[in-house]
Amino acid sequence: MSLFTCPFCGSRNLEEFSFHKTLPNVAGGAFEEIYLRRDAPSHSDEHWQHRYGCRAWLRVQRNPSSGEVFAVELLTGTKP
Amino acid sequence: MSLSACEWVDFDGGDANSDLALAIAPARWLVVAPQEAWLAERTQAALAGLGALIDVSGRWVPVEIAPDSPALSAAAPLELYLRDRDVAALWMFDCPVLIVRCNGEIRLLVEASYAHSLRAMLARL
Amino acid sequence: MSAKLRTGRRITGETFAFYFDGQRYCAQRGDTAASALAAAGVRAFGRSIKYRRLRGLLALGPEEPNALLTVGEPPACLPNVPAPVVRVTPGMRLYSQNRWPSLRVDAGSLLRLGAGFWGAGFYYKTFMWPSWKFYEGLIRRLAGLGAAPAESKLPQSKVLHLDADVIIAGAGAAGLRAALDAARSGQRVILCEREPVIGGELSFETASIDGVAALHWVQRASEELGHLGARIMTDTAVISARGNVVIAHKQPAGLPGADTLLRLYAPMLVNAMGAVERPIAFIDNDLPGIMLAGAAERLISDYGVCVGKRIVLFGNHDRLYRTAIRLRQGGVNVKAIIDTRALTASASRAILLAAGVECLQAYTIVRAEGGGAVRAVQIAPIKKATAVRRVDCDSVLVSGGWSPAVRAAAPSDWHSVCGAAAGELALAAIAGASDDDGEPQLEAYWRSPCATADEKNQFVDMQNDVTVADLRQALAEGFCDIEHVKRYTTLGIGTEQGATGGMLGAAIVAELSGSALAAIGTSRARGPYQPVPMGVLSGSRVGAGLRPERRTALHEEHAKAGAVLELMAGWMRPRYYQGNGADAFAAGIVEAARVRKQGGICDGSTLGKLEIAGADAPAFLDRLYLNSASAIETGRARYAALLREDGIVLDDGLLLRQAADRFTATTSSSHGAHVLSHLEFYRDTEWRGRRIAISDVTECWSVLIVAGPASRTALTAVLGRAWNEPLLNLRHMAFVERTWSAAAGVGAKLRLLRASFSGELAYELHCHPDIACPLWQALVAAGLAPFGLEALDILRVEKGYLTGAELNGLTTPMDAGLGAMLKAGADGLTRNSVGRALLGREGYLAADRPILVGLRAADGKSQFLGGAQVTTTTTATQSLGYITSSVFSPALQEWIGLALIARNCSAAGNELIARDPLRGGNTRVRIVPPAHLDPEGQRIKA
Repeated sequence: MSLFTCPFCGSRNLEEFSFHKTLPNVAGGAFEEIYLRRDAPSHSDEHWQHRYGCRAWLRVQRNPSSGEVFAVELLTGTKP
Repeated sequence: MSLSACEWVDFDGGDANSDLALAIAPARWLVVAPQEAWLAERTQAALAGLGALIDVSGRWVPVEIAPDSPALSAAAPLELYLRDRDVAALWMFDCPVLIVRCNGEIRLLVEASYAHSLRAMLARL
Repeated sequence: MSAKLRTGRRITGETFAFYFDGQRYCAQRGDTAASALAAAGVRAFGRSIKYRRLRGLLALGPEEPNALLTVGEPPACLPNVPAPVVRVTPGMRLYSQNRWPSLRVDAGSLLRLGAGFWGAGFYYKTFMWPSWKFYEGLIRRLAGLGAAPAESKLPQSKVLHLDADVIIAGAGAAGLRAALDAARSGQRVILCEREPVIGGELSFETASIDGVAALHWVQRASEELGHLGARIMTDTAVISARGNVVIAHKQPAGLPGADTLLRLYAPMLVNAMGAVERPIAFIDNDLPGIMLAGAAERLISDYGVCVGKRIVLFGNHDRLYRTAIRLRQGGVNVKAIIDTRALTASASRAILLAAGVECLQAYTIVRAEGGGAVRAVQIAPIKKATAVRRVDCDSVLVSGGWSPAVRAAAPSDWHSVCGAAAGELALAAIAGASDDDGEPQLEAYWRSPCATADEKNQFVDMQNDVTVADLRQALAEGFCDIEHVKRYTTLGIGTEQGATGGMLGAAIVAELSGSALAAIGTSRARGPYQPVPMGVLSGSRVGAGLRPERRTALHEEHAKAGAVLELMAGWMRPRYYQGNGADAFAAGIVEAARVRKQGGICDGSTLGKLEIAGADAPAFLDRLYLNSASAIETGRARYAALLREDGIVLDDGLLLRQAADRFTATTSSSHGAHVLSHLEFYRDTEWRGRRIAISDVTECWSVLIVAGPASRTALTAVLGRAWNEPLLNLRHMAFVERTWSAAAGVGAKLRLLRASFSGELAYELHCHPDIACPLWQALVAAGLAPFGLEALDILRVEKGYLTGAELNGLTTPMDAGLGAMLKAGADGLTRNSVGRALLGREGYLAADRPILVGLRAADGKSQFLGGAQVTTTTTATQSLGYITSSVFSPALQEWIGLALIARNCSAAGNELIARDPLRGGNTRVRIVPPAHLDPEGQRIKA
């Protein structure tokens, strides 16, 4: 049980969010993205959905070892 | 029974142009029992490419709940969830709901197919 | 019952009877089982888990390792309730645990004879031959604490979510001080206290805080906190804390019953849970009558119970002397105080010496003597442990210091620690007290000197019968990390989670391995920090409350028609209708036959429906779906499929085009949520900023499926004149939208789509849920009988249509026979869409890649079932694939099926064997095209 702040909804139970996948971090196509990516234990760039809340898609950058969240970007409804 | 309602999904950074609009998600508003005038205006806005109007009548069903009901505090810390907003979209006992605070009162809307189970759950508390 | 009534801070004077092991005892309102039984002279409360040694009270709190009782009688009893926690009620029946036939005479205690055999890790080394099963029954009867109940009469627990600015765990001196500071500065405070009263150790303090006596200060603090709006919750223990969420368990009366689980949210948690007293290890330090000094002090002041007549105190700090004075004031005879330290400046000591109490410095207790209870101790100077002297006593009070209760989460940026939990033991420092006792001047002392052969009787963790010998053995076998020691020796597992023995064990491991205690550390604590009944965690989410059942708008119609409803993918759906057969198999055949012969009506409302609108919608759907959406004309529908990024089919369904910029996509009932997230993901990442709106309109449309030769006639009769023209002219995969109203009702929108999953002439009526029931009733009255999912499955297998059985997360579009969707468009170009890129993977193009085929029995009558593996011969063990669906076809009067078989063996006419080792049987089958019936689709186009 933890809290996470959705940029739209505010403080919510972490369980409402669903991890989808990490962003590609290596140049190339599908093969490179799946088999040749490099993941660092201290930094992960991820796509989450607030599935059991407002269903917004988020880009979450965090430290997967400690759980510390560096940045949360709201993707749904915003212009790039 | 289920409510007549529409969603306005905005493409342009605007809003739903209605005091009754509930901000249920980023760039998405729900208007329950929409007025003809609003529907007409929004249809024009959609034609201009500002957004899309989607009829979601039948999706939401109101559930009667007393403001001091133990059910509300048994599901989520609502004071926290409604601290900076009047509408919260969440799942309550695994049922998708909208909690709306209006003039100090709390209204609960649940998706129609879950209504029976949610009412049974609330009665069980 | 004693002639003079006991008095104490927590007992009220009102007496009643209760029972322990069948014997009647007397208690007062406010007594716990521990205090009432100790008052009656009961010393033995149970037997230990492994060696079945008789045990008594050690501590007076939930950390009590020995005195775990069962409350009530089977089958609805409550096991493992700590005696110091459960408050006795009139007529309560309590039982000791872990003994047979009785507490006094226990057969299992004979295990003591093999004491050396049961050392650490014995599970891994013994009971191997001939096999574990041989010993399992006996071991299971002997092992464990208490017997699990077979029934429960407990009421449902409540759950409460609250948020605050700061949560404070523990309402002792430190907690109250922190609460006052926070509340006075305007913060919203929740203060949790696991005892029934607040104040903690201040109950024993004579010092003053803020100019008033400690107890009076507690009272004033409580009132002030009340005025400031702080919430104080007693009988509420914090059991877990993580990520700004604290879980607390409120259990009044110390017994499961009216429990509440609290989920508390705050940016700050203050751990003021104090420290737990720990023992010192010496030989036979587990005898009944040997307990922690603080427990005895609390027993006398709160419950008026004297734990013995000739008491010896043993420890390593100044508080011992204060305790001795308090005990003497309560009328207890203190014989001797054994202090392991060489020197002390305690003023109390001088008073005790003057009163004739023997006070020894630099002495230790080497061994305790006694049968069912302690009768004497052997003491000796620490420097000369062989110069042993015997001291008669009937009670030994031990105190080796206090271990901070930081097992409830390590401090972090949202979690701070104060008071004894932070290692601060002087009241002056904690709460600004004056004339307090000051620092206790503790000097670490963990165990008495002892010959290696006797280490097996120096107990470190009483609950798990872990001795110094076990720790030595673990180290000798290479388990040097404290986490490994814990798991190998079972040190610190069980209900008290190392509260009393954890630090002691770590220190002894440090001593035995020659390391510093700080280097060894204690094992990591995880929530819950106190046992919590599973029923409290589940609350109302049991039985019917475990998961919701989704119902369509036609639910009542199905119930009235005698449908047998089953939960499928979260929805209650009619599997079959009772009047049609004795079971699903028989009824399904009758219903399916009737659809083909006359017609039928089925509820398809659970189909997922997504409305996708916006100028960029057509281009978006072109990229998400395998086949083209933008090529669909307005008013037409197309069967389409979506791929996952890896090329596997995610779902299939229909795409309906309502306008140039508006589509409805249908999804299968079970995959709707997944498809929605998939589309939303691409809309918000690669297509971000484009004009695409997606809404889930599954609930907005009820779907009535009308199929069979009579369907058009029935619709003409029911829908009314406005619909005559569309019904006459509607082509396959086209739709129109009008309104329809029941006889006396308001008109609502109705979309009529001509599409078929049954292979018959069929229509889907998508309507507003409010008119679903009148429409259904009218169509039934017009001669269409309801059919359920069992029949629908028969109909679609006869046609070779796909469901999740074939689109099962492992099939590519080529495997599933959807290769036509991959063809180039009218412009000759193949479009790119999600998943296409990986369709060229070698694995997907291998010669033995599965492909969808139909199957019939070679003899035209034998049965074969879904899940059966397909091989070349009856004895071959190489599987060529498996059967995905199989039904008995009323149209063809034989068993038919669909299967995914390796391409290179899938030629039509090939004969293979369906092998079903689990359910029995080998059936010879023949490969046929998947469409068993009417492959040209003549019936659909009628």
